[in-house]
Amino acid sequence: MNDEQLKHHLTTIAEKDIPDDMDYLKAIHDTIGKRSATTRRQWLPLRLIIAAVIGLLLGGIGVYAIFQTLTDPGLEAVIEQGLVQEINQEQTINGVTVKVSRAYMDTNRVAIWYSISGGEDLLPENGSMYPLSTTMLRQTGSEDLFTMGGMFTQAGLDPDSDSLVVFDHDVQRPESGIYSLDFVVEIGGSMQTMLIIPPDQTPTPGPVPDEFIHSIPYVGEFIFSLELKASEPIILEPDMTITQNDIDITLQEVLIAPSQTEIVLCFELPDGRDWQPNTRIMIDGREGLPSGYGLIQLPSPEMVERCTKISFMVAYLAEDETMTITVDRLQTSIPDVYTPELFATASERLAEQGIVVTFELGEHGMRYEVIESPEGLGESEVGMAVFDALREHYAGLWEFTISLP
Amino acid sequence: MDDQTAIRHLKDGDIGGLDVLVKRYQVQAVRTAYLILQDQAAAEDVMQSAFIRVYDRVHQFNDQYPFRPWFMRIVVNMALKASGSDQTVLTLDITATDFLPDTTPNPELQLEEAQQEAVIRDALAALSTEQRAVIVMRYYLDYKESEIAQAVQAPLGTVRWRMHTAKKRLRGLLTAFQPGYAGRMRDE
Repeated sequence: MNDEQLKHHLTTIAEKDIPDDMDYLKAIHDTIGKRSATTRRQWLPLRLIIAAVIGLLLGGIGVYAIFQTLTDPGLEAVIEQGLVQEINQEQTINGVTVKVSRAYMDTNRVAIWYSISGGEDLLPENGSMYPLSTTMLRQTGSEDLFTMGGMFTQAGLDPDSDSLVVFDHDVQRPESGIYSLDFVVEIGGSMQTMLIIPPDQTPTPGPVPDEFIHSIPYVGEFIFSLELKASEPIILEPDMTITQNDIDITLQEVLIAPSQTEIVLCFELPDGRDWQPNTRIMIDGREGLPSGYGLIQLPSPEMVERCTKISFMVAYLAEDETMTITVDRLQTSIPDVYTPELFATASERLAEQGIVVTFELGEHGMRYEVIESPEGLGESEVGMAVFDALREHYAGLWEFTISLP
Repeated sequence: MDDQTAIRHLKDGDIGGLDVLVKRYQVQAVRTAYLILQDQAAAEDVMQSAFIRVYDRVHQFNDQYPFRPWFMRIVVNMALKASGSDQTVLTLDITATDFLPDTTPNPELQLEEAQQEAVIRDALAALSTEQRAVIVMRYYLDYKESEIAQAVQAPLGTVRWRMHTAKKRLRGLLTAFQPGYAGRMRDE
């Protein structure tokens, strides 16, 4: 059967099974009519997630491990290279002032440095405005988000602001060019500030405890119009395949933006479980750890190979010559369901590394306590070891070295 | 009214512009989603959701470009998303005899046609949703590989990889269902 026959049969099947006399006009009109009253509510989950992260960082509830150790060499590099745009816009509503000091954009992400001050009379004792604010990036003059998400981090890189929000272009990567965007900070109202569970616990379904719901009077929506320029990225298609331990891994694409490098890896799955590559990157001696991971294909039971997009917070400098991408191993995702047998297996694996922990299933999920660990091993490193012990591993190693243009 | 005019009407708040687009593309949208999902009701849901998305996002659309590729890209991505949320592999319960003609001027040719079609149906149903999506985009929507890459927001190399594995699997399935067919399928 040739391509033309395949095309012919697909068309025939579609025409036979789906009649051409359908009319969904009324159904679509009805849906639009019903939906218009609730359109604004659709952003609620996103706001809650952002608020949760903010709340954890500055609300005094606790700090998620990933942020404790977060440094961003990519953003540090673009600041050093003078690629960050000065914004210096300020707005005051109901006694609360939001100032946007700087912003940076490339084809991988947008970073905005800002600060909130005033409104202390609205807050509970020792409270902060950040847990009660949300940030969004919209197309100018539109309610549509330019990019989803918005990861709040400690600023640290800019003396004129005390917070930084980074929007990753996970869903759709923009072309290089100049963009008119509205950075929106909404403050006040009722916010849930506990969606991320501390690192030694895992979440379980259930109502959010009252102590994590906070509210103050609604202050307002601060909208800052920004003109941001995204520079042209370097895109390489190495299409290199390395076979190790009977598994092929192909490095399909490398996209290098000044603040972040993103790669696409395709690999055969050792079995039907949810395997991910444990990957790191070196650019001229500077190491970058993954900052984002996404599946290009949706998982399905019959899938035998998988392509993943992995981003790294690593600086790229014009003089860099070599990039090495290393997949140490394939590993399964952290299991959704914990069992005593799994804890026993993990404990044995940890004991081999000199780490002794106790596991416990509690109200909010799994919890562990470190009883003993080798000297010099930090808390976050032990935490990583614990979660690694809960996974299955498939040994590598696959190493890709490419020359940079 | 052509597509560009319809979009301009829609951007100006005239829902009549959407009506034109719905009438023009609803059938192809359902057929595309159906080939990917193998489920008519799910395909109809995808089509409706895609038009709602057009209504919501029409201001993002640059009307200097043709509407159909943008819209079909939404349909394909929504079909993929729908399959992921269901986490099921849907199959068609159809056999070759369903398509045998009652009376024909050339029975042998039509029988072979019906048999080939049945083989294709079975083989398609056995592919993963993602593999069906690239096959449908390439051979039903006539997309080039670069257009598929844009549609599913994946690098060209990834699309080639996916197309290669889909065709390899399809070839294997066609061989299993009906030896002799698959060997003639080109692997571009």
